[in-house]
Amino acid sequence: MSAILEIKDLQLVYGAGSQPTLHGVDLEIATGQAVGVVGESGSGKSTVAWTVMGLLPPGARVTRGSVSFEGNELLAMSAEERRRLRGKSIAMVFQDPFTTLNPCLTVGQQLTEVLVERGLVDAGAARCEGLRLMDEVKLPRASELYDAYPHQLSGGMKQRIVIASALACSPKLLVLDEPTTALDVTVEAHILRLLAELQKTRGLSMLFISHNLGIVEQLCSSVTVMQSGRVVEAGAAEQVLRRPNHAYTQKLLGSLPRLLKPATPAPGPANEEAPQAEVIEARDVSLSFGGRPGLISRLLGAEGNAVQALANVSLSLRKAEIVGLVGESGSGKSTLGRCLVGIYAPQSGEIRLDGRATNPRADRSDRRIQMVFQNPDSSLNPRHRIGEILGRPLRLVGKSKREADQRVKELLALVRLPETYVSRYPHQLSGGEKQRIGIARALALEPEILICDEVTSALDVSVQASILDLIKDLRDRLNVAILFVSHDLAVISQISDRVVVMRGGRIVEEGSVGQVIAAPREAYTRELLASVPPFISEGLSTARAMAGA
Amino acid sequence: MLASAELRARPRLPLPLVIGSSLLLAILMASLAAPFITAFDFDAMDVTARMKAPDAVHLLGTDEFGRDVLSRTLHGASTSIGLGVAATAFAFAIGVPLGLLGGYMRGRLDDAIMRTVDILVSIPPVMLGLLILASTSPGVWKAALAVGIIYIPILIRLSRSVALSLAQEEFILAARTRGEGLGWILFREILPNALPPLVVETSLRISFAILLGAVFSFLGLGTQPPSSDWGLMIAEARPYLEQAPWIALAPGVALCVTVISINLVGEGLRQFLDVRSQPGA
Repeated sequence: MSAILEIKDLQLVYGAGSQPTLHGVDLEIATGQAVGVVGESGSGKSTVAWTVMGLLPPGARVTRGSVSFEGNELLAMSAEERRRLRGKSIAMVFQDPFTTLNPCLTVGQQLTEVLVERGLVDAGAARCEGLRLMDEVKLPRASELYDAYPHQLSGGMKQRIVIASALACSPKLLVLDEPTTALDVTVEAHILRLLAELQKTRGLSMLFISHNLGIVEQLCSSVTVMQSGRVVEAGAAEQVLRRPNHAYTQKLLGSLPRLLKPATPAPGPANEEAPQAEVIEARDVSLSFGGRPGLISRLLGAEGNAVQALANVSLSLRKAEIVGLVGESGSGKSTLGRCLVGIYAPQSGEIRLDGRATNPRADRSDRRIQMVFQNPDSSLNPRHRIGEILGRPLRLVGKSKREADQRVKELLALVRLPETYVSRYPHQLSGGEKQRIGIARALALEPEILICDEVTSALDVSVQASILDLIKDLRDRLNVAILFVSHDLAVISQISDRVVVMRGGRIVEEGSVGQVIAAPREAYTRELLASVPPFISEGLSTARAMAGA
Repeated sequence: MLASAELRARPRLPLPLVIGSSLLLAILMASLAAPFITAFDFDAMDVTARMKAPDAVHLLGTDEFGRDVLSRTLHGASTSIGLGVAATAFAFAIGVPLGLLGGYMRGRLDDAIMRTVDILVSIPPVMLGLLILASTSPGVWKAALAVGIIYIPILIRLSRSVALSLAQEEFILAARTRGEGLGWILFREILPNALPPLVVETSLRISFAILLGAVFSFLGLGTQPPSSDWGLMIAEARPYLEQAPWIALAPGVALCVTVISINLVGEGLRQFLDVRSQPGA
């Protein structure tokens, strides 16, 4: 089998005088083969994809090496030659289907644009070809969707359209840059299955870029692991994932959250015989958004299209307990968290603290509930120093400057960061460090309840593992009750004592980790579990057998 | 890793800020030191020396009344720059808080502010100025006030749009959950992040304010003769452009240099305020 793409000793620099981003990368894709490139942020994996596509940003310069496609050197080609190659022979699927499609054009126009523009089909035949492509990516009701605009489609449908348009000119090589990262897990599973199928039926070669070691196995026969611009390990998927040689691959695999460590119930006070009293409880909470249309629409008699975000949801947290709240986007899991903190006031139902009903929005005086936010880049004010960010909650409750400074040092130690960070700005910290600051800020006033809203979803896996560790450790040391909101069942199963599954604003299933994951009662929970890549859910079958016994 | 002392150290001043502020300072100093630079009073007329070309006695020549152009230009500097800065400061002080408030609070309050702005911008600026100035006796400070009012909507719109996008950030949500008051959120959380575009706009506004102030002076509603500002000087020199171009040239060049140096200060300030460009990034 000949190689369709061969990258040899590729070295690349962004901007003169800076350190190379790629240090001699080698990669080979045989015809009809799918190769996964895995690495954390900053590993240079996307740069490899852009080099192959010829889409490098200005200032990037290849200083050494070669990239050949079907034996032709890509780097020696003129811009025009490469443009002709793009789409026709090499096509790309981008990460975020929500921004890849042009919101002003219909799905059909975007799908067939490349065909019409290259004169492969005339405008009349375009529709027919477009429908055929949509059929191939298994989009239902293709003739209806053809004339729809992107905003009318779900994320998964959009990504199918993006894939279909990449396939329009029957390329030989498909470059996929994190094609499922922006999607829900169940959707991700479907898209991966579709890609695997397309690879077989079309005999496509694929370059699959991902940060997630767990999903590459489903699609790729061989895997290349990258770290800081170097290939640290490459080989058959089976070998790299099961018998990794390099320490970095082992570390990555080690920090990958696995679904349920079977038969070891998470230790913690919550598992003791007598259950602790509930510290916070949501009772029959309902909330809907966007009910009121604008003045003019109301005059024209428009009805409000309210979205029910929460429908009679009840949930309770006990002291020192970690409850995992899992659900896909739109399930209402974040809304519930925000109701508990008091950002939203429920329209009906109540939030009870220590058995007494409260209005969390009005009653902020005790500040016993705090929140850690999802994105550490946006949750810290970029213009405040760390000392100010951590000290402010303390100053707000009337602590003196000296007391606050002292506590800030304690907080930094608590989240395992050096004291010198007080004078830094957020941008001088890494993503994981920023999230530690976010956690420290939430802990400043010694809350009893901590709401963690997708706190690891913006982080690399190895960083995620250390943050999960920290959260568990804080629970043990400070006895805080934690509501851990996440879309990732594997993460939830690692950290929680109890699991609550939400869908469409309702609680679908609730129970201990062992019960929900090993013996789910509801169909939706089973579907969620089935979407977890097999590599991550290994050992589950044995756990199921044990739970059944 | 950088030591904290290094991080605390003030970063180097950006070059545009240094150049711009030294130029501006030089102009203001020259204006104050005018009596020592020239031998002539700015309003001393000399009928025997009307419209004389620049020579050793009158370095920049004389105008149609025989007044020394250099003295008048230097004298006009403080009026012109003062008017520009005062007008912009006024617009900033009123417009930015309102814009931040509207962008952060949304809803009815935002509607009320923005519709008022719509009404204000629908009146042509010079008309608006005339309305304000014609109803009372004219004067340079009233001209500054009129220019300031005209510029309020621009600053409201800009600060509102910045606040609107910043209000979605999680650090604002974090501030709300810990119970911060409105003032803190607007001025300590949002404003520092809104400053870069505001500073650039403000420096532009000062330049435009000087020009608009000149328009009012030209219409007889701002600076009153025999006092002088650059706009008025240029306007008065217009009929003699062919015979005596130097009368308009001196204040014109001065205005040009001032506008450039103010813009340099704005650009420099923007760089200076950007924490990301500081060492350790």
